[in-house]
Amino acid sequence: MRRAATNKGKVMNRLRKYFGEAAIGLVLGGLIFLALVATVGTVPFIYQGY
Amino acid sequence: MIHDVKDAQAELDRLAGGAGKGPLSLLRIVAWMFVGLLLIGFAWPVAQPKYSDNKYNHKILDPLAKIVTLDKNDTRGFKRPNHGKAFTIAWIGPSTLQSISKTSYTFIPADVRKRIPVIDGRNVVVDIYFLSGARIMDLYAATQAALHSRADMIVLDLNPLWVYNDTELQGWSNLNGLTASHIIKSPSQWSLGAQFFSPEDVLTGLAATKIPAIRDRWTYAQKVRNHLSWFSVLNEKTPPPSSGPLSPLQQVAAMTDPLQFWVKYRFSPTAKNQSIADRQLAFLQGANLSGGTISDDVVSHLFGILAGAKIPAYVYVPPLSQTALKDPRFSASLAKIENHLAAQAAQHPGPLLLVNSQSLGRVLPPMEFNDIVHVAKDGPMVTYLAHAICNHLLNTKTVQHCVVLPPTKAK
Repeated sequence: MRRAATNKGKVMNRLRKYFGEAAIGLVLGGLIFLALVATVGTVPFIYQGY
Repeated sequence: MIHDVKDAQAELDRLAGGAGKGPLSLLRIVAWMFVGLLLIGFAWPVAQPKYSDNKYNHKILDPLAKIVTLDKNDTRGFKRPNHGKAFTIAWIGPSTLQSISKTSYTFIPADVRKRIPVIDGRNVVVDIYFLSGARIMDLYAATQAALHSRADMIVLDLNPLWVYNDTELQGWSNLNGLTASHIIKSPSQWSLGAQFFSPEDVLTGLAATKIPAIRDRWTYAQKVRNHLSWFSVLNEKTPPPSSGPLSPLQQVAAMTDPLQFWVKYRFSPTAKNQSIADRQLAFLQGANLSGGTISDDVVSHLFGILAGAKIPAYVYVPPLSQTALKDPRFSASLAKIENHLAAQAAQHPGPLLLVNSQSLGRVLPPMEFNDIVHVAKDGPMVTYLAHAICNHLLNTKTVQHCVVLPPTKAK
């Protein structure tokens, strides 16, 4: 009984870890996307005549 | 209760089960990061740019000749469609590809296409890699892009005003990532990349080949910008009326940083009434022909990749106005550039590469120009280039049949 409970705890902890990794990874991906979108130039090119 | 960093760490570990501890966990996070980036592309797809987005394409009525260059900030660089069985000419060049007069505005490659509508029974299509204000590294980037397209031939316009001017080497740095992805499998080109590209250029350039969200980020930026316009203090809906052409002093007043002043007036800071011809002469004389410059390096790599290409390439120097050439200062400066170009071309012989280092202004009849290098009426130049292209294709035995139509029959 106690062993089963310990195993369940380990599995839950591992699931929590995997879920945490996925959440961190996805948020990181989103942040990188936002950073790249925010830093790509949007100012139109104006020929200066030189 | 959280008192210090250790408490915060313990709480995070409890919530996330110790995610990020250990190399395997970090690897999984990175994998999820890529999954996230890929998911954005699937969940929020964007339409690819259209030819009509480039305002210069509105000047070209021929549906078989189109400018493939995207916005100057767009890291995708070019639109490179597959034209199927058509014979595709990738024509690369700066503002000297234009022919602008009071009655007409055309592009020389589009006019040449009308004179050579068919090659070997295949319709001719011209993809124009037009880069306004292009410098030598921009032409290299466009050439790499063209070589990685399905083009059957490359034609390159080398404006003598800028080819060896080592104070201005690049104007279209948005092409860096794209070029990095093109040269990644060519170690001989890496030295050039190391001189121009940042680590971000290389990383995003490589990532863009696999991840749509990164590749299309300029389009995403436009969409986001539309939603954030309320946040800007700049009123774009009702701009103030145009003030017309600015005086030289007003132009200086409108400059936003000292570099712009330097770029425009560095050659003769004391000249009060400097004309465009004076300035263009200064650009010609500003060519650094001492050897071993960065310009030399870029030109050398440029000729190197063209010489090693499996498709024919024709490189020409656009004409300087015949009026300017009568001035010995222009003629002598140009001759030095022509000789240097010829010497560099000789170091990179290729069975399918022809470098015509002599400015076309020396062989063409007098033409109308807007300044010393921009033509107003391109007639003789179109005839010359159409024959030059056909002759090169026939001489290299790349094609069997190439006929130049007379101007009257060109549609």
